[in-house]
Amino acid sequence: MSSVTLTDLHKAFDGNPVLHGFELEVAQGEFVSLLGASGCGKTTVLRLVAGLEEPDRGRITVGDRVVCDASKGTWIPPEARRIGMVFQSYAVWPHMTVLENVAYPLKVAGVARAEREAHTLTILERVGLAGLEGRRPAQLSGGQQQRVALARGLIMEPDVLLLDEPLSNLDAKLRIRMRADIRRIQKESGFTVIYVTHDQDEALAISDRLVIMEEGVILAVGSPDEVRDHAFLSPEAEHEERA
Amino acid sequence: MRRRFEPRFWIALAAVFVLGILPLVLVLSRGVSSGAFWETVTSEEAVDAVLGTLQLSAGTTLLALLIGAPLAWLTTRTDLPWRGFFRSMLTIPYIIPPYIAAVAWINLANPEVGALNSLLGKGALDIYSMTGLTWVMALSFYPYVFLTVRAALLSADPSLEDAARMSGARTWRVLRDVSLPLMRPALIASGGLVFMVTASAFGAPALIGNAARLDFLSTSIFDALTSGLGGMAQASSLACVLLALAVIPMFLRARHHAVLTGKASRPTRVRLGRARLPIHLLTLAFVAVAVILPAVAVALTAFMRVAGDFSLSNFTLENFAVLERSDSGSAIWTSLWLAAAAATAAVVLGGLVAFLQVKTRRRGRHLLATLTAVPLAAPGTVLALGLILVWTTPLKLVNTVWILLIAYLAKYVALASRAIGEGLGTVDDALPEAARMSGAHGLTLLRTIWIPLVLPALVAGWFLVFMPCFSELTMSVLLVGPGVDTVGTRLFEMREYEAPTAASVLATVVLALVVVTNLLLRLLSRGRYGV
Ligand SMILES: Nc1ncnc2c1ncn2[C@@H]1O[C@H](COP(=O)(O)OP(=O)(O)O)[C@@H](O)[C@H]1O
Ligand SMILES: [Mg+2]
Repeated sequence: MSSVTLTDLHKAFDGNPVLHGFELEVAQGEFVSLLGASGCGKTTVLRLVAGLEEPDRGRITVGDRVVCDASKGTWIPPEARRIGMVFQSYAVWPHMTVLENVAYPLKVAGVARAEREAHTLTILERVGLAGLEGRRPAQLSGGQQQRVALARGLIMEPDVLLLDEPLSNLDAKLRIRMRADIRRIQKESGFTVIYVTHDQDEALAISDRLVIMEEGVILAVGSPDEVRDHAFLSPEAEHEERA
Repeated sequence: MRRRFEPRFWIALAAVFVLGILPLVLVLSRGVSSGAFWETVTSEEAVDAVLGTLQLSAGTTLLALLIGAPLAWLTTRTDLPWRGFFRSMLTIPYIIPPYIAAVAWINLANPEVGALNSLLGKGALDIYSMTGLTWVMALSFYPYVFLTVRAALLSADPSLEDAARMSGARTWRVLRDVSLPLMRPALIASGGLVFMVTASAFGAPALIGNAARLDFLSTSIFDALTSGLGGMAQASSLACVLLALAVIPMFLRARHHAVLTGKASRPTRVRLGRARLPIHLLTLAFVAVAVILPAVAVALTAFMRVAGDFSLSNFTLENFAVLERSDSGSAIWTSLWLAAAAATAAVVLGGLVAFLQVKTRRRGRHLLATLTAVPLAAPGTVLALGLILVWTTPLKLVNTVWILLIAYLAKYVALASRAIGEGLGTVDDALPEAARMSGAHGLTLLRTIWIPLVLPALVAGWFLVFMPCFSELTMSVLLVGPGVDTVGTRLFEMREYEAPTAASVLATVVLALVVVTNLLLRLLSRGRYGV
């Protein structure tokens, strides 16, 4: 279990700055949501933490390990960061079964077959996929694929789990159920979560703390109660005021 | 839809059938019914030819996959510098006829006077060998693999690979466990295509294989036919075998993984790290050797008195006098107007086929489209044999330019119909309907609405047919003898009679024309067609 510290992160794509001096501290075991409109840089923050992108400037610390420091040239590649990630598109491998998908991190780590299958089955049970281990992803519903992606992110018992709009492709009812499941599993295991969403109800319901972003800048940080009444969370209210 | 007699459908079907299907049917029936079928196909020469074709096709396929797939991955998924430049350069061989590449590599690696052998020592490289021929074929056909695998990687969700990295897999592991399985359908499809076109190829195998005493099915068919008496029966029997071989890969089907939903993100570029510079240099070297060197070899040889001698005094413009000699000069004109005529006819017939398929719901329209595409997939030698069977009696068209026009139209009409079909697919049905409500019908509707709306596709279709027709060799050498000359037949004869400098002049003309037409096509279609 680890804290995550982002210090003075800068990132531009093709000369267009996305992040300029982004700072954030996430405590060990905390559940923090990044909330903001599409295109404001939420995914970029996650990918920097994951190591899938390199910052132009800045430092990222996970626990007591500096995983990236642009000024010193420190760079730990994503596969060595012990960070789990759940992608918006699920990224469930179509050529592997559910079992193979979820067991993959253990396989890469060299865990013996019997052990990794036993472990995988318990994780599948925890995310509510018991009995589906032999299926191909194409035979699963969106919600089930989502659970496969979650299970795969959890199985290597990461210090930090990153979730990028994990529920945005699901219908409303399922979204609320999955939300509760994710929170429950996180509380049980105690890992640190950075959760990206553009759905404010979701962010308010699930997080210890919210980070409200706009165009790569943090507008506000606080607990759900602290930010609930923030003007930009309810643009309708703002409208009425003006009228 | 009202059921009624539609003459345009039956005209299209009849044209497609007589042009491209009847010849193939006749070859098959002639070949199989020939009393000597088994005798022919089990003869020592035939078995050698089959083995030669299999060896060449398998070797070429393997080499093309080994070249094309890594280059596709490097230019889509890594931080290799100059990716856009590599993409353009590596696609160029796609538009250059393989026999031009053969002429180039003969200039370069002919054991006696090859330019590379002048540098490396006489006999260091021998293009007149199975290895040499496989090299030439693979360099001509790897773009099929390169382009298909690139398209597969570009359409695959890169998070699939990112997810593997987040699971702890390193670059090689990600490649093996995720990227390669994602590429598999593309590898199988493009590998099958390379196998087919290699087995069907005639020009390069004949130019290189003759001197190397290598036999292939396509060249044996040519030899049988030109040997005279009884040749047709023997050639048809061999053609049946070639047709069967060329069709095998079509039955190879990859188990297709359903593409899962999800927004594709931008690819994370794999950091090549310390390997970046060496890989960059290696790719540059490959472009230089595979793409630039052959073109330079052809162009330079065209200006040399004696091939392979690089002293300044050896360079001359004299060779281009060959263009003024009536045979070569007229060959270029013949090829130009034949290609233009075939392209125009293909746009008309292909346009009709495409219209019927895309804009009507008539029964049989898909069959029509399939039949149109069959001759394109059939080996040129086999189609040419069939055309001889169809057009010798009562119409004596063989050995005239008209049989070439028919052959080019039959083989390449599918290229036009495909392009026009894509264009028609984007036209909203309300546009012609509005015109009908305004009173337009028939030819007026065609002239004022359809043609203007799909003009870009018509132009693209015209060029797509024009290009291969201008440089066509395989069918041409079988269908016409002395007296009728095209660029392809002239070049073939020159090579046979060992006139490398004159052949290089013609090859340069073909190269220049192909490159210019391709650029024109690219401009006119705003980058949609052409490379
Ligand atoms: N690989 C990339 N190349 C170029 N631009 C990018 C890339 N990734 C993200 N961007 C741009 O950066 C901005 C922020 O993107 P992103 O972090 O995905 O936003 P969010 O996840 O909040 O919707 C967007 O304008 C996006 O177009
Ligand atoms: Mg995003």
